[in-house]
Amino acid sequence: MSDSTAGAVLVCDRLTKRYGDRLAVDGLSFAIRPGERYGLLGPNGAGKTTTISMVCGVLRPDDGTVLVDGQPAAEARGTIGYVPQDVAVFPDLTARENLAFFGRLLGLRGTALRRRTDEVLETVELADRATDFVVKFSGGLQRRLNIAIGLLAQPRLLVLDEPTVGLDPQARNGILEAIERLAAEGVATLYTTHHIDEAARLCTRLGIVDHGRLIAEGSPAELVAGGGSGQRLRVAVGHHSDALVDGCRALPAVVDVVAVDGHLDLTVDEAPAATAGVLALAERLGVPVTDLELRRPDLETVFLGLTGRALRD
Amino acid sequence: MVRASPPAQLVALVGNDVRHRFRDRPTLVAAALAPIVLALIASFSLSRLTRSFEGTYAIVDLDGGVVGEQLAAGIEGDARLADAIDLERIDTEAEAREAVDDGRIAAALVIPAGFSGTILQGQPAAITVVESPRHAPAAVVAGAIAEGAMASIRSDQLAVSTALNVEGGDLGGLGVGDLAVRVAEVAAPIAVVDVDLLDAGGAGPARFYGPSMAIVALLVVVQLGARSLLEERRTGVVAREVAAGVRPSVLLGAKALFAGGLGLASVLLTLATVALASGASWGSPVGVLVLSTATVAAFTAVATLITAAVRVEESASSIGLVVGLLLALVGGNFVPLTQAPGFLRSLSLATPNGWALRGFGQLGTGTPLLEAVGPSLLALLAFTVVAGLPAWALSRRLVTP
Repeated sequence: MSDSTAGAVLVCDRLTKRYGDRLAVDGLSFAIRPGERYGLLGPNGAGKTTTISMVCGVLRPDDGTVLVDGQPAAEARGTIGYVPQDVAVFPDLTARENLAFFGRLLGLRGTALRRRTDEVLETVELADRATDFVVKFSGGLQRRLNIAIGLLAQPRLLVLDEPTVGLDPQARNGILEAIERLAAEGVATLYTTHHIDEAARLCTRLGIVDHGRLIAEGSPAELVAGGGSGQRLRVAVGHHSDALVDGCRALPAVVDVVAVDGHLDLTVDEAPAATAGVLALAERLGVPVTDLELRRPDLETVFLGLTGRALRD
Repeated sequence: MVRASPPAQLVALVGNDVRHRFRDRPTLVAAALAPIVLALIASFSLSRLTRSFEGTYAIVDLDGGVVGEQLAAGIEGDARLADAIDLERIDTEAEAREAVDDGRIAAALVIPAGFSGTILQGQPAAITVVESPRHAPAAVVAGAIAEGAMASIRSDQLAVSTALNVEGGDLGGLGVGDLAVRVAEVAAPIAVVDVDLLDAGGAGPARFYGPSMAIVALLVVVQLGARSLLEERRTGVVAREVAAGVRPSVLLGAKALFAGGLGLASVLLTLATVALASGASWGSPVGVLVLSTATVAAFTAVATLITAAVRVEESASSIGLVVGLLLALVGGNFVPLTQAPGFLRSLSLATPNGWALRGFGQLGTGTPLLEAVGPSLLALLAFTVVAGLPAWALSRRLVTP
């Protein structure tokens, strides 16, 4: 074990997984220390869920290793707090019955089971709904129960696969606060999300994944700082034009162009020259420009710059 | 944290399935209500069927020979038949046809001319049934009587053949009377057992339709249990259970136990309902339990094989329904095999329900228990193994990391 992984709760080393000819995860390596909130960011199909499944021992890697507290993932099963992307609960049972069932699978019994159930219900603020059937829960409450089940094992490593999907901002905030409280208690967190703002707020370190490979890693501030000095010019256009994209790329002040959902995201060296060039080009090509926004680099622009895709793609 | 032992996990998984499923209305309806409804429908229609085949039946002896006369007398002297139907003699087949057509008699058995001669030469012969589509149940009963009578004659022919064989094929001057005595002394080496519609004190039809409906209910219920694995896989519960340290074998064992338990409860519930509604009995409760368990095991294996091979809930449901219907038709769940054509009887042996129904038919007939259910148990065990092994292998792929 290298110095960089010493004391780490989770060490992934050259993790690889293939589905037929497709390489889903390609030699992924990272480590997470106690109390660290590590976010895996990547577009759909980047390999995030596959990575998480291998970390939790639900999927066997084709190559590479996963060590959880020094143990191989397969042997560490039951000690990892796993919160899958799906709300993996029984709707016909109450919150307490769901927790009791998964608790029994983990070896909890009697008083210990009841105490631990009460604790996790408190942690996710569901104590007052403990005896309600899950089918009557809102999406946010179901997600909280999903997390509560992951906490039953008193894990040192909590793995959450997009735990806020489909939730309103208030429910998302509640879940993020619960995760922050757990991290403050020393729980290491591996987290995937589709929300860049969420990752920026929650994660102390991020790994950006695309096509199964880790293409950048660092704290949000480090990633933004390392994203280059160029500014980002967002140009909203009336309709897509390949000629405009190609023309923008040819402008001397433009470093890169990405066309996303009815607008162009440009990385530029000189904003005034680039803006004037783009507007002149659009006018010549007959492409209406409906909005212009000059942005300083942020996590989203870094992500776009690295992957060429928006996170929701 | 102390990890749960595999047996403790197994208990937790089965217990949760029971609790979860019994709050799931479709499963509850399928597991509890469907067997009861099927049993009551069967009992109700059977009581009508029982009444509908009561009536007068005729025997037309065109043969006039010794075998034909003995056959007619044998039918007339059968105490079981006498309890259920009336018999009369009619002289010609044309009169019998007219009587059947105008409804004076339910059906007629015609012993053709030359019948005795054919039989005495050791050749196969047949009794003709005169029937009317308006009295389908009566035609079934008449067919059963004819089949039973011919089975008796075949048994006698075999006895004669054996008697002659004892003498090295030489009659040694024996007369017909001596031969008859010799035949009576020689036990038929095979038992011709006919599970007909008239036995067991009037509850005979229910003795067939009880297990038959129980198996139909089982076909539905056991699929629900087997499909729960696919459902939990889709919702991420299986992944969560594996992540919690549950071994694939424990997970599959729990699913099989639950599906089997649900199926067994359904079968026993159906049989109990039919027994209460119609007074039917299958003799030894141990025999019923063992045969029911073996039947459930075979169908659990088949249902698991289908769901594990198909891997998609909706498709598994459709294919399971088609396979179940096919098995029920071929296996003889809707028509007693004793009334079915010969090829269908042979084909039914390729189905677990065919063997199960055969076993239930033998129960309570006075045949020793092991002899009654032994062949069916062995066949059902074979079905369980043949379907169960690939089902287990395919299911493991659904839950193995």
